[in-house]
Amino acid sequence: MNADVNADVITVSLEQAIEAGDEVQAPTFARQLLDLGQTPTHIAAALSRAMSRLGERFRRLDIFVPDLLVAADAFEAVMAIITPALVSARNPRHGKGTIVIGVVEGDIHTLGKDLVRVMLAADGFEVHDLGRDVRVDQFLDAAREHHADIIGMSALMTTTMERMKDVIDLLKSEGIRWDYRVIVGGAPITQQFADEVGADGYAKDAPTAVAIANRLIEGNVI
Amino acid sequence: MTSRERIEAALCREKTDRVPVFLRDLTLGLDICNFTTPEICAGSYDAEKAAQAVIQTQRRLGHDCVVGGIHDLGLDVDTLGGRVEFPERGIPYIAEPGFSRPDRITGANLPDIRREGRFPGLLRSYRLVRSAIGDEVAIAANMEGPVTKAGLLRGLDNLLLDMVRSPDTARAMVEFSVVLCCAQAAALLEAGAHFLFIAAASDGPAAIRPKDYLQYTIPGLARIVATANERNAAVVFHPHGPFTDERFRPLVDVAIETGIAGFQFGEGNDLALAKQLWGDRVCILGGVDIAETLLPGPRERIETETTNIIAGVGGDGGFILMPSCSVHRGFPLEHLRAMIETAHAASDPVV
Repeated sequence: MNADVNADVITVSLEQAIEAGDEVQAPTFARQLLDLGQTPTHIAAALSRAMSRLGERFRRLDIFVPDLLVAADAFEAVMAIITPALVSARNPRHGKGTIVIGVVEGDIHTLGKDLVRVMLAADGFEVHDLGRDVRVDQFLDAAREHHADIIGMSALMTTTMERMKDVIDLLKSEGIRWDYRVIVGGAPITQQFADEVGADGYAKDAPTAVAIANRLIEGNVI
Repeated sequence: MTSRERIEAALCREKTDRVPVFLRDLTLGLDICNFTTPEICAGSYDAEKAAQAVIQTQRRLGHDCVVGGIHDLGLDVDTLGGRVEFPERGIPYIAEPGFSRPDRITGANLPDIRREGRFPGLLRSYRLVRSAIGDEVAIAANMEGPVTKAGLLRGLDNLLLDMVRSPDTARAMVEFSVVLCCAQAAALLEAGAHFLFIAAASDGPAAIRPKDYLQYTIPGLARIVATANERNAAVVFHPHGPFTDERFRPLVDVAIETGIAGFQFGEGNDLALAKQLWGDRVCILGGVDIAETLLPGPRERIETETTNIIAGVGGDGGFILMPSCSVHRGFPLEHLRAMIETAHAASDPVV
């Protein structure tokens, strides 16, 4: 078997390992691909395809949150291997856009946000995860620090979702509202709420967040 | 009929004089009485103020069923090594679960819920509410389901990963949680609750796989139901997920087989279809979508949705109208009032 054919087989195996949430085999396949001379971009593309398929199956409820969580772990194990090379190569995939993401103040439900982070990274965005219980001003500080294109906010509680409006209001009062696009999501969030608070996008799940982020970037509105 | 009779009849799938309403308002009363969250929930739990908040809210809005205290998800967490935060005007939340380290699960002791932490205060609130309005108004003991409780104690992401990678850890955590749930069920019923409401956000396909539901949720639910039935109390089960979707209907059937009296369907379900499929075996609970309708309003939209739901489900009894999930402080009272008043007007009478 020549190197190209072997690489093709291993690439398929890598994608299958990601979809199966195999955090041992997935990085092993990634290392083998690097040893065969494949680029980090090639591997990142494989990750992206696998996560995209998972997102679609999740949307159809053919798979469930635990399946996504183990896949996310496998994904991050591979990303830990290829990220240094991606960054040093100034890979164009990471030129796709920069996003700061977090769970708003008073809310600690990170599961949905974590899945969004992984799916965005798999799609080639540079993601800065601010974690949970993020203060209003911290979103702005991080957006400035990382020269973000998009601010992503998540909330699971009706009592904390209003913090999203506070962030957008602060962007306005600082005169930098149109320096960033804002995506909101989480269980109590609706398109109507997103419209009312002035967000640019509403994502009901992780795959939708990726689609919205791409639409905002590709729409060249940033 | 009194409110209590109305709820009890509905749970027995009998006709009622009008469609009963249960708000499952867990912290809403804090706004009614203008209490801060720490004022009641932090420290040893202020039972008198909690009961006052519950009673005042029922008097203000006129719903048929109350939860017997101000409820938060961390009521037992501090006694199990975790940490709960109490925002001044927000909902208490678990900042640190007690069992984020799996080695803490083996050999962990159940807290004495009648003496330790905030739970004794909650029990006293139930007694006060029962004494004040319990003859007239139904009192639900709000508590968590097996996986939901385990997720709170372990951290939900940890638990879900355990289910895949470390099933022994998941089993141990859920077992501990079920024993705790049964103890809490018994204590809440003894304190005056008329029935159990098992809030189970993480016990359905919105969070776990169907096979996890069958392995973890159903056996635990059966034990909680047995605990309630020993005390002649009914159980309502409220997991999250699209249960009227054909693929997930068997999950409702197995829940009904545990002996539950009611099943609350959340968002994304067809209530009329649920009534058609299971209405001869279980009381159907459910109602106005919180995120899409009840929270944003306006009043006319809430009235329309309420009227449509009652027309589709409520006509022949065996139905309790609810918001699609729990409501909390900060919720617009006028929106809840619109739902309740529409229910009273639209469903008068169904006998």
